[in-house]
Amino acid sequence: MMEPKDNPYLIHLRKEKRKIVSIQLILLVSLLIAWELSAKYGLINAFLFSRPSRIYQMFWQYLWHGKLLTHIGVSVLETVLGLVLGTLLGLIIAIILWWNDTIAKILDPFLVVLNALPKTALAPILIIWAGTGIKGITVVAMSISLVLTILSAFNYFQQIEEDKIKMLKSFKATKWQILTKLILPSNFPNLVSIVKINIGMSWVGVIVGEFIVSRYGIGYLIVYGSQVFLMDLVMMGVIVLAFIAFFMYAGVAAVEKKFKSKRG
Amino acid sequence: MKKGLIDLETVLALKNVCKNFYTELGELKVLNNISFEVKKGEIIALIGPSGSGKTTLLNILAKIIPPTSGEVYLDGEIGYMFQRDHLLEWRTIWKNLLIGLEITGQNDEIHQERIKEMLRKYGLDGFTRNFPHELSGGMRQRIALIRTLSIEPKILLLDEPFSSLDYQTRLMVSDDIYHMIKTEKLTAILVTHDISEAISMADRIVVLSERPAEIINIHDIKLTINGPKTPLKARTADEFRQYFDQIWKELHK
Repeated sequence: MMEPKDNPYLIHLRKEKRKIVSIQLILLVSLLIAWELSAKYGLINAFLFSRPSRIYQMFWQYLWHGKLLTHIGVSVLETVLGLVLGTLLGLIIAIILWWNDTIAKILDPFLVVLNALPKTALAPILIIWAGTGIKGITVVAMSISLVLTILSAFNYFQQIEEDKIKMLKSFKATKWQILTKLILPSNFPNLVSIVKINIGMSWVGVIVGEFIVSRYGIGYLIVYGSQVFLMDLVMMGVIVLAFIAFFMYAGVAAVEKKFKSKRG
Repeated sequence: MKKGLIDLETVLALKNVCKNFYTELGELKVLNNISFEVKKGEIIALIGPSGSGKTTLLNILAKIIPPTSGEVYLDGEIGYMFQRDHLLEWRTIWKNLLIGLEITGQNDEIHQERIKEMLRKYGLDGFTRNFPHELSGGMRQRIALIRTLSIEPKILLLDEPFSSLDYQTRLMVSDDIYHMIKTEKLTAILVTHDISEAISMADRIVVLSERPAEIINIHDIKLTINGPKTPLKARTADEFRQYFDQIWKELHK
């Protein structure tokens, strides 16, 4: 058999991938250089637009003296808590709706309205109810992913082939067995994609919550930076946020890939 | 129906079974006065135009839905085989085979050994660690039958079990499934709309009319074959054509 490294198709794929990654890097670096140079030579106002070198300095300054890691830690904690609670609670409610048709029909219009409502509008109310600090912000983060999780998970649950349920029923399966042996495992890929979407949702909740009232977190840094007109700090906050959100997404994608290869 | 009233050899009997469905458009009569008996070890084919209520009849036998009126007598556990194999894609073949045992709480050494024995007997023991998508349609259907047999049913209900397979595979798989039914000494009810398939597999054929389904005729299939009967050989028997023509006429009156 041919060694994988000699397979012309694989060689072609690798080359193609290298080409795309290098173009992406070139694009990023040239953007940074263009930004830096236009700020340096006054093409753009560095006071409004900041510049990469100053953002970089700001990053190290906050890392050593500004408790950047604490800010990151608080935001990540709130996001993860909001994500886990929102997804779990959403799933449990979706299961209840699947279990009981009448409850599903009763709640349907309420869920539709809640889904259409921009959840960020509820953030001030939720923070007043749940209290400030990590608790309130986690509740805001949770509320944003909750309704969407309920609706999409319930929708996925209903799309199971009726005949597969009949197959289990021919062995006299209970409703609980149908849930645990068919509905949940067959929807595993869908649940992973719900989690992926919820990462973004949860971050929206955390940042909005921190904008409203907070003493720590990346959202706090951004809103503080804009209040004192320190755009270097604002930009630094946004970039750090982009990196962390990306790593969380990549983490879930890696777990997903591992499961896929296991299933063959 | 009381056991005393019927033949000891009878494992399944229907007497004057009717089924109506109630929909927004009103009452829909699906089955009208269906009566027949099935003896132990027989293969009965139910044939009729599509939409004639054959699957409804199976659902009544499997106790998934009750009849509107009439009586159903069943002696022994029911096993149900579907049009499609419904193997669960995230489970290995072995795990798929265990699902019936898991549900009925019989997932023990003895029952697992029985499955392994069937796998060996029907030449499927090399694939237990594979996932369903790695197997051909014919193999998947045979795995599905073993899954059905794992809970040791006495009566097998087959709902157009070959209709999702291509013609060649279909002929081969019906041979295999026929062999398995006879080896395991099962009583089977086969629902189909394929006349040739019914004649080649069944001992008796119940011909149903269009909805509301009534029994038009019941044929005893007697074919002249050298050696043991297989569905493929049955297709070459002299009487095959006559049965085909007669049933065709009954279905297209």
